[in-house]
Amino acid sequence: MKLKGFMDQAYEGKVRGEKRLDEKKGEFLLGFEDLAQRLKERPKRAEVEDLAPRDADSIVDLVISASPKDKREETIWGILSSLAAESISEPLFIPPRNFAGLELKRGTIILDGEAPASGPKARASGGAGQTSAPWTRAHHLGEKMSGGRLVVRGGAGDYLGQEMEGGGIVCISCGDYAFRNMTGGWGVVKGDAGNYLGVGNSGGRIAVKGRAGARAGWLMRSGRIWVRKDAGDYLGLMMSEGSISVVGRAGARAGWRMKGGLIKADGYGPEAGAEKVGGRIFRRGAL
Amino acid sequence: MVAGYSEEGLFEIWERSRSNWHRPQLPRPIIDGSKDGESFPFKNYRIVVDSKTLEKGDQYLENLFDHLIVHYLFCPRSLDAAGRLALAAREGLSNGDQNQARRMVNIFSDIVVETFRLERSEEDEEKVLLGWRDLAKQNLSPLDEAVVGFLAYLWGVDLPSSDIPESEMLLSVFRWGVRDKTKWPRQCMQMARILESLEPGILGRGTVPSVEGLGGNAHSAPLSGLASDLEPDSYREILSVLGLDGDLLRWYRDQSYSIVIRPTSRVKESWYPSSLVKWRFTDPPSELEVAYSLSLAPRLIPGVTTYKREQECCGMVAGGERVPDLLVVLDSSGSMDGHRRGTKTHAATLAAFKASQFAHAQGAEVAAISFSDRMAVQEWTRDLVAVEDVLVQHLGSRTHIPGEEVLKLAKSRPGCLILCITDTHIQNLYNEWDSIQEAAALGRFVLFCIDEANKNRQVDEALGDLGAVYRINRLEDLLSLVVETAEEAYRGREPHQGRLNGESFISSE
Repeated sequence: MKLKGFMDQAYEGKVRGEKRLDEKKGEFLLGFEDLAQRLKERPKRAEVEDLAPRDADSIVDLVISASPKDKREETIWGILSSLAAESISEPLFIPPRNFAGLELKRGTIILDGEAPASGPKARASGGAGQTSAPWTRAHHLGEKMSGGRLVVRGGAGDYLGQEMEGGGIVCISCGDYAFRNMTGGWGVVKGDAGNYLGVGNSGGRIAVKGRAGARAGWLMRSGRIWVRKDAGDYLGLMMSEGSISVVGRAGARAGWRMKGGLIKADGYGPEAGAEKVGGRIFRRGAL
Repeated sequence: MVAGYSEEGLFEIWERSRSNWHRPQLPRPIIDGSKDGESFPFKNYRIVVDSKTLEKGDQYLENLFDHLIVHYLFCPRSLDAAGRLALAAREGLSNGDQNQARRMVNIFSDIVVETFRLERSEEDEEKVLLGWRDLAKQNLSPLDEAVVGFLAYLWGVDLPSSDIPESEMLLSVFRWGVRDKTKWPRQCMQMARILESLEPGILGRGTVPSVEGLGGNAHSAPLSGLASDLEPDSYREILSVLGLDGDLLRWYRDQSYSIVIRPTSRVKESWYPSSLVKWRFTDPPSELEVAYSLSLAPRLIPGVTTYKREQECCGMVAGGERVPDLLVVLDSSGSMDGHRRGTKTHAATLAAFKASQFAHAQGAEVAAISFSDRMAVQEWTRDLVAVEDVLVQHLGSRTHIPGEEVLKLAKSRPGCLILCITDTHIQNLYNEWDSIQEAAALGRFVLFCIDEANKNRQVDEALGDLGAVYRINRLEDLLSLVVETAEEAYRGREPHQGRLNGESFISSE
């Protein structure tokens, strides 16, 4: 008797010859919460990458369907959004959410504030079927980017492009601490920027087409900041290198305690260059 | 008894169900209120059928028995597996509600069991669908509708379903199949997340199958794996989800079950045949039990119908002339950090639990003192629970060793073993020194000093003169050393030759 015959005899022909239900094969992942559950408290990009689906459609689906609840989940989602943008050839359209484009290396993310259409292709191309949603100012957008593009079709929140190493960000406006500790890449703000723009920068280029708030270029060590309209008080505070160019007027105490670098503006408020140790402050008309 | 329904008829259906599932060793069901239930002393896995169920007919009964048998055989199968599902369900629920978590465990295990049965054979499929079609006729809540709709999608059958998005979401959880047990906790957690917001109804009511199966004895079933993995509060909550009471005592007790002490002072060793296991090609041909194998099947198919006898070793241990009683002196001051996993208190209490249980099993009387600047004392007793009650006391505050109390207990049992576990931040040693010295002289004093890095050198040196002192750098070593000391003390009255005479084997299983 063959083994199959023996087993049939044992089960008295009760067992099916073929499987009744199809089982999905491949990576076992049950959604965003399941992924987040399996990661430790402060997950790194490599750890998220290990557990994330390999195929582009699945990862885009995961990004679209996720609803992160706390900061930890938001950072995981941010890394996933970058992985999704890197895995597809066309731009990734997603609604603005904190940490979008976190550690982005390549590809393009467009935050357009509109709910995506169904199906990953439609989501990726931003095609028809979209419905309007109220714009939310998301924070930490494009943080630690080292490549790629992030386009924000609305106002960004605080910490835009923080610790950026490369790539580029375009947004309509931004909150405080934009491009803080930037070491490379570029950022364009089409409207106004908040306070503390480019704090501690050691590289990169920032262009603001509107106004910049107080303390832009504070502790700057390298890089460039260009502001088309006016800048707030304490412009270039304690900066040691790099250049700041303001087409409009700078506020009070521009270049206070500066050690090096260059500040150019159309005019200055009181006490410009007070307690200055080094560096140069120019009035644009005087050049 | 239902009119026209005999016990023989019930047993016939029961035997048919058992034969469907390769005759699991389960007791016969009883009809609610019958005398048979009172005569049989064990309630474990006993199915009680009420008159309402009997009225539903043979096919319904067979379906019910099959369902319960697969719960017993496959999912959740054990109380530990049910606990892990409960943990997953609770984590999946945003509110952590215990009743809802229990409902999720029940629904999950029902889905697994029914899908497993449906996949097995056409005959089983018919029985499974019969039950669900019967359920679908009733007034269903949104949660019930979501599950029924999901099963219709998953099984590809005609079940009344409504367009609830949760049904499709559940499909993405179960499309990986239900056979892989390692996936269950994650599947259960995700299922709980999806179904959380829906209003419950018929499905998932009642107790968890494993608890129901144990018939009132679930409170004493050990859950070593869960206890080792969870903090006391989480452990208590998970047991509540299962409908059981869990306290600190049980948390320590369950962890201690996984620690096995195997005494090694054997006088004689012998091997004897025990259970039958599969004989495979890699085994010596001489071990093949031809006669037995042929009695089970007409043909010998290696690895399938071939059996051999397992051999077990029996170690003959010499009985001790006298068993020393055990006094456990446990530091529960603030510096020991309290009852959490990984703290000094945790390691010390677990070690004390195991030592007490071992001494108790050897026939010794046990006494315990838990001390800080106050103390809790259990005098010499054979009541292990009373001792454990004292050992789980965490008094906090400063470290004042109760020398006089130790001496009093040691005086009443000369020759006793005194295990003192402390981090040696003792502040009253000078005052209590004489009493401790006298107590140490009356018995065998063994000191375990935790926190080697922050030790008080003077205290340490002074205590070192009293007897054996173990200085512990890593908390994991404490348990092994305490257990080893206890094992050595109760080995019997053979001449002590240290470790050369044989290591004690301590394993955590």
